[in-house]
Amino acid sequence: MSNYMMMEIFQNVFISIAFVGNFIFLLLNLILMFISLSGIKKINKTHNKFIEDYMSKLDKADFKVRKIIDNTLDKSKYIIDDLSFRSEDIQKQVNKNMAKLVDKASLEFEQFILKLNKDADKQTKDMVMNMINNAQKELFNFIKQLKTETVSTKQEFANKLQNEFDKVVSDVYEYREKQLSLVEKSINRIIIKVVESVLSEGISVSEHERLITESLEKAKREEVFK
Amino acid sequence: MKNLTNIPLSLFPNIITNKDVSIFIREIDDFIIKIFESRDSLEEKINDSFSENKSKIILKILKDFEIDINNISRLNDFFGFLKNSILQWPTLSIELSEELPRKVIRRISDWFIVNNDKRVILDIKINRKMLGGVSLYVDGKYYDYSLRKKINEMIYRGNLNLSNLLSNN
Repeated sequence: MSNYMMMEIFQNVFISIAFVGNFIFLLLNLILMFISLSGIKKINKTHNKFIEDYMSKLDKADFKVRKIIDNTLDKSKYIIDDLSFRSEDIQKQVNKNMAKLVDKASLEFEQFILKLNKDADKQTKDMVMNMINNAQKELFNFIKQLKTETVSTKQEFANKLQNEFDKVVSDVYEYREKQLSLVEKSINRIIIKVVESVLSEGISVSEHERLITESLEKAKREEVFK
Repeated sequence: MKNLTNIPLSLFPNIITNKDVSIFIREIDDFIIKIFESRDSLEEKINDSFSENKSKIILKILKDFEIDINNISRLNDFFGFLKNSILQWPTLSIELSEELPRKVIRRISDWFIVNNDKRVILDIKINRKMLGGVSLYVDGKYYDYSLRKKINEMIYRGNLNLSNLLSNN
């Protein structure tokens, strides 16, 4: 058998194997597709059932909640009504008790005032007597004190008068000094003006020169130009 | 040519007050302008610009420093230097009670040469309230030797006497 024939046989066998392989692969894909489709259908079914159950539970819960709210409202209304009734009752009771207490207190107060009036008569008499006695004592003390103070006031008055006199003398002296100082200043001002007018007209050039030279010599003695 | 040194005040005996200094500086400024103006000789220009006395002194100084009088540049430098020297001359500020004749001012100036061994430019101000005497400003301090001060002191002591006032200290 030649090599060529051998190669042709080998080629045919290879093609056959490839064909069978492809067929098997296709078949497997079909099976997988079928399995997937049936799985999806099953999931959908499960999901729908879950939604239905959930909705049903929600409806039930909603119903229960409404019922609870209604019950609560009914109970609240009953409690409020009951409370209103009771408060009215309590109010009436309190008013009744208050009236009783006021009546009792009024009676006691009336009795107390009557007793107080009786005591007051006696106390007033005592108080007036005390006041008269005290006034007499104070008047006596005042007269006594007045007699002693008159003597000391004379001395005090004399002292004050002396102080005032001293102060006036001091003020007069101060005023005199002040006035004298003012007069002195005025006199000095007049003197300066007179001297100014006399000197400004009366000093000759040579007199000026002499004054300047003397001033410079004085400055030299005082070491101004050192 | 010698190196220039400060030109002393003693070389200009007629410059005694700050007014004299101002006039001298103005004369120098005018001369510096004239140097470049006409073709006249520089010696003539000096004689024209300054008084006879100052011209003589300036020409003598130029000669002493061996400065060529026809050298415009050197002459210009010299007068610039002279101006700087003038600004450094010692000055004394004084106050007088009134304007006095120049001969009296000169004697006051001379008093400083005799008694203080030093010439100074007198910067004079007039203060009529002083009545007489002099006030001095030395090293920023004020010294009052006026007649008014003397009068005030006499009045304060209570022994004002006009004959005492004008008598010797």
